[in-house]
Amino acid sequence: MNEILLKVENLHTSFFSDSGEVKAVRGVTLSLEEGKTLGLVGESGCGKTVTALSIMQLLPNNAKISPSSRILYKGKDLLKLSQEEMRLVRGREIAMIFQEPMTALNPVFTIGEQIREALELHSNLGKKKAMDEVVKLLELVGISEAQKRIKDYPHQLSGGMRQRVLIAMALSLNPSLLIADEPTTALDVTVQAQILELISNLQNKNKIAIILITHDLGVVAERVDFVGVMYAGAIVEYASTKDLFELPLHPYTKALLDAIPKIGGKDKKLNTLKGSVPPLTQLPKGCIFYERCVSADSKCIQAQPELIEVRKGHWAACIKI
Amino acid sequence: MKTLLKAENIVKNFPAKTGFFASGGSVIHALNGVSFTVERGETLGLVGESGCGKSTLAKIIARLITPTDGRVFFEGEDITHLKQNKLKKIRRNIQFVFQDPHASLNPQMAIIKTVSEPFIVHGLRRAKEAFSEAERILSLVGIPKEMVSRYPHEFSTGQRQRIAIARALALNPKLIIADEPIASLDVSIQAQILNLFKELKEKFNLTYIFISHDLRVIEYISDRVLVMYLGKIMEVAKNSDLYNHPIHPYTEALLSAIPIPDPAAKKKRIILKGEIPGLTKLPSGCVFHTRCRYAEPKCVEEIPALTEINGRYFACHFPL
Repeated sequence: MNEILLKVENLHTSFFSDSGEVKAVRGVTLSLEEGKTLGLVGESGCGKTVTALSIMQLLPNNAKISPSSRILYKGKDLLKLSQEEMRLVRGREIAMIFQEPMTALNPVFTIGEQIREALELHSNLGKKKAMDEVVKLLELVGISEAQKRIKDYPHQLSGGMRQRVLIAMALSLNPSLLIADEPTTALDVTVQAQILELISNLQNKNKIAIILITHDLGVVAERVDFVGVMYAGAIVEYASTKDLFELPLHPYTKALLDAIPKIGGKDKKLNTLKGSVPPLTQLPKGCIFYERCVSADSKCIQAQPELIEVRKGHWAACIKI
Repeated sequence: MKTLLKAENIVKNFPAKTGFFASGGSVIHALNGVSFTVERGETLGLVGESGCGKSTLAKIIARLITPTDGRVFFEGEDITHLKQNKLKKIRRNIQFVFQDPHASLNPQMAIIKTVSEPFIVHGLRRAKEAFSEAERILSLVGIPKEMVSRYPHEFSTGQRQRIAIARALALNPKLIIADEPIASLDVSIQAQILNLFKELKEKFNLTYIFISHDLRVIEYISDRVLVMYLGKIMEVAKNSDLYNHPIHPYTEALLSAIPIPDPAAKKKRIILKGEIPGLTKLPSGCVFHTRCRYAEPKCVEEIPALTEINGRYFACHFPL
């Protein structure tokens, strides 16, 4: 049994605007062991990214994390750190890569400069030594002719290359946890395969724990150890990848799995979920999935279902199970 | 089955202007000699990665842009260089559904107006009749009567795509071109829209050209599949043939890259080396040779022609 690296307890994150409070994340609890991969899966607006940004404390000003929430990293509560202390955690301990590598890079600096900046800020390498380190990093993430490439600007690189640069930057300070938010969504399938392979290889080599955020259940099945399925700000099911795909418990997980076309399943009609995700400003008293659920009945509207351990290590938030 | 549309050796070049003072010089070779047919009543899937020319091809077929070379026939008539006034008839028969329904619906128009506009533009119906017809079509795609006087921003993305489909359907076109119509939707909504496309096809015996980068989606919706890479056709085959036994190494690699939502599935993944080359300087010989694991000297020197064997078309010197 590995040590627990990250433990998120009862995370509530809300956004406040003129139209009221948007409860983007509602009571997310999760834990991640060293070197393991946790997948967070769900549709747009389900709170996957806000969960990640809450861990990193990179939320915009109108967002607030509830005081009862706890984010324990190596036993320390990140929410109690000062801004200065948190800055040391970011990058050195926890790094993040984003969906759109073009917007995550600064267009007016060469990629070499950008990675070096991160290295210099966090370590006391000299300029020259830091640049040598950058070349090594770029080679590590599979960029050929790295010595020449460090002088390139982001727009000179393809989408896949840019994502490699971001990965190099994220890994430059040897973090123990990498949060990857839809890292391959903007990429073509063949490039996606390359990048996912790269992340896996680096994970094995450096023993990094990863939180992989994605909407693609195929990617989840192939790349993660544990999965949290999110819906409207809450985790509705949590299990090992094997258990989740073998025996999905929550009606939402089942519906998601049935909604993806499978190779060889041409003649089967796709199951669909009726309706769409409800707004997060007015939450119903009962189960938030009620309106779209095929197995719902009158009991479901009485109270919000709690996440309970249905089988060993397999949690679901549904009273019908 | 009769041929509805035929494309012959389509070539499209765009000038590559990179800066304010750039003049002429390099050229983007978006399409490099593409020929294919669409049969009445079928769904032809167009699949390939970004930059392979699938959207450019769709726009040429719909006559939204003109090709540099080559010809397009619709019901036997050469439409490649039709003048504006004659194009109207073609537009009625070839309709488009775009990827982003936020951008393709007029935000200042109530949706009933958007959907009834085609009738009025083509002088087919008077306003009142057009409205009731639009209402009927909207209900067909799952937009209830009570909602028809709302504006696009009041709908979810999935609903907006339904409205875009209703508009495409309005004039009872012979061909609908759908360019990544579900790429911006969530999984559960994707399934709704895919099913809608299928239902409408059965109901009205439509013909589709369906463009997607997602091979799972293409398999689900298509009868025949056309695989493109760098502005060229790599392989054309019946759906089941292509997925059971790809002939072109690029198709093989594409298929193997699909993540399978089943952790127990053991599969051999082919990781393609390198990146997709740029369209200004295409590789010599077979355009795929720089990334192909079977490439031999011949592939660098000689361009493989699209060849037919047993009803399957492929452009490869060493088919699998």
